[in-house]
Amino acid sequence: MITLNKINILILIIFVMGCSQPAPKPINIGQDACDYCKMTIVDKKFGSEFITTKGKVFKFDSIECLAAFTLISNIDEKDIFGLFVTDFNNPDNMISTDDLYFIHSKELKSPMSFGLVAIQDSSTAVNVRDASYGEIVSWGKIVELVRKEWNVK
Amino acid sequence: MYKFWQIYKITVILIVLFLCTEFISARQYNIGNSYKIKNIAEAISIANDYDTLYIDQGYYYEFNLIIDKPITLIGKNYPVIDGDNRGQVMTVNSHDVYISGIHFKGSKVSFVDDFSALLIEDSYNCKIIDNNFSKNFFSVYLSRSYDCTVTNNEFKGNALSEPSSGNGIHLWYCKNITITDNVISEQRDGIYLEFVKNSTIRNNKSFNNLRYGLHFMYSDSCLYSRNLFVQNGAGVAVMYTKYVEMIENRFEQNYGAASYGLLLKDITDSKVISNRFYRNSNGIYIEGSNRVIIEKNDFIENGWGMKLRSSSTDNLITHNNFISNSFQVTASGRQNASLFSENYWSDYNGYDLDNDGYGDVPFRPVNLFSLEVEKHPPAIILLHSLFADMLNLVEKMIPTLTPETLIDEKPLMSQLKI
Repeated sequence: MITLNKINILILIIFVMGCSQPAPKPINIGQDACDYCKMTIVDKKFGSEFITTKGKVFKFDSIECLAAFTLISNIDEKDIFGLFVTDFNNPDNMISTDDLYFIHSKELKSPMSFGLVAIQDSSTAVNVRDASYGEIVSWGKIVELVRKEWNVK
Repeated sequence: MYKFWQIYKITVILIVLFLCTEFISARQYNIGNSYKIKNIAEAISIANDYDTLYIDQGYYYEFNLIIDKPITLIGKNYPVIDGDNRGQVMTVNSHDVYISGIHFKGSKVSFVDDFSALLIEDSYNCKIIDNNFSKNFFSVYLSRSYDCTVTNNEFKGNALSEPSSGNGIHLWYCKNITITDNVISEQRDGIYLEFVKNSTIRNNKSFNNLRYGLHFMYSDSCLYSRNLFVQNGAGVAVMYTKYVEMIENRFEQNYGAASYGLLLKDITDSKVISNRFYRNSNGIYIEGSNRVIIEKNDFIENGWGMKLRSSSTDNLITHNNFISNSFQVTASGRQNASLFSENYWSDYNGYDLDNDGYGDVPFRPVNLFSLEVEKHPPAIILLHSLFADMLNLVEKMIPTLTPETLIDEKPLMSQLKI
């Protein structure tokens, strides 16, 4: 009887795990390839993800590539669970683009060379902006920038 | 008498000149345990323009060395300058600096700063010749510099022991740089170019790097030739660039799911000539590229010889050998706007009745099964199965799904000598 209970619990655990919400997956540095530009992802600080409501995770090496992917993906608005970008200051954390400050400056060296980093903490973001003579930009502006620079249709 | 005066004058001039050269000539300093000057920082501070510093064999724990005047540094028997993971090892802020025979070690691994063993910033006419670099984050980093040479150096990074590693030779906003005869391994990218113009990369060997053997970003009008790229995460990536010439390189054994011999993304007006692609997951991958000439290359025993995305137009693929690739050419859709002509295909089984060296039946290098694999990658398990062979045979007889225009009208009957 006890064993049966254990099995039940196990099944329940697996069931609950299977139902869990979609969430950012850690990027395997040096192994995963960017789903937009095909480059192997080697720099943790800029890793980005596009997650669908079904839990499929597209990984990107940079904020630029995530923005470009949103332009070409053809995935319905309602099927998007969220866009996530690594906090530059805390590279183990992936945070929704809604909760991040994006800094744009030619002094910052991001993988696709646009000079974009994302930071969660507002005072750090202001510091980085001032140190790099950059500006804080919205997500929409980043998408527009990528559309223009790379001529993405 | 007149002759005597002539000789006298010349002698006097010569003596004066001789004394002058003695007076203005550069001085030399020896650095080492057995000399008065024990460390390099001290020697740099007392040296004047165009002096030469000879560094004796030994171990120097020094970091943040700054060279702000044109001097020559020569190591005897490769003295080691070890930054001991404390930051930048050496920074050059001056023109006409010559560095040779030194072993640089231990630039700091950092997630925020790009520390390197040798940073050359806002400089010109610098020469980095015959040095060793080991266990560095970034090794040589040239920033906003021009007319510099990096030759005959050996690089061994820390990519195997550290999760994050920097690039071997990193160029950022540079012009007229020559990179030749270097051996680079275990870095992130062997050679990395970002916003570089008119530079030459020749005769280097780049292997076992974490990502690419050579990586171009926004670097127009560069040439790389006679390099060897073996067993990197991927061979070479050329991205968002115009007027690149890629000649006589070898791309070999770059394996892995996301691995390529050569990745071309958003490239225009470039040339890929006389290269050898041997045993890579993908020989060459082309996306968003226009007017690229691919000529006289060998594609041998790759998983995919050539992957051509339909976003590419007006490329010319001619006089290449496609030999025993699991898939010779694949395309992403039915459209193709590139021209294939006069290539040799090892799986062509047409005939040549008029004996002109060209097969009389056009060849379609894309088979149906490869399109299936493109859409559903796990279908690869059916490779060489009866099912896949039947699919291909039917499609060959009645082409309906493979790209209509991706066709070689004049396939060569015999292999080209390249």
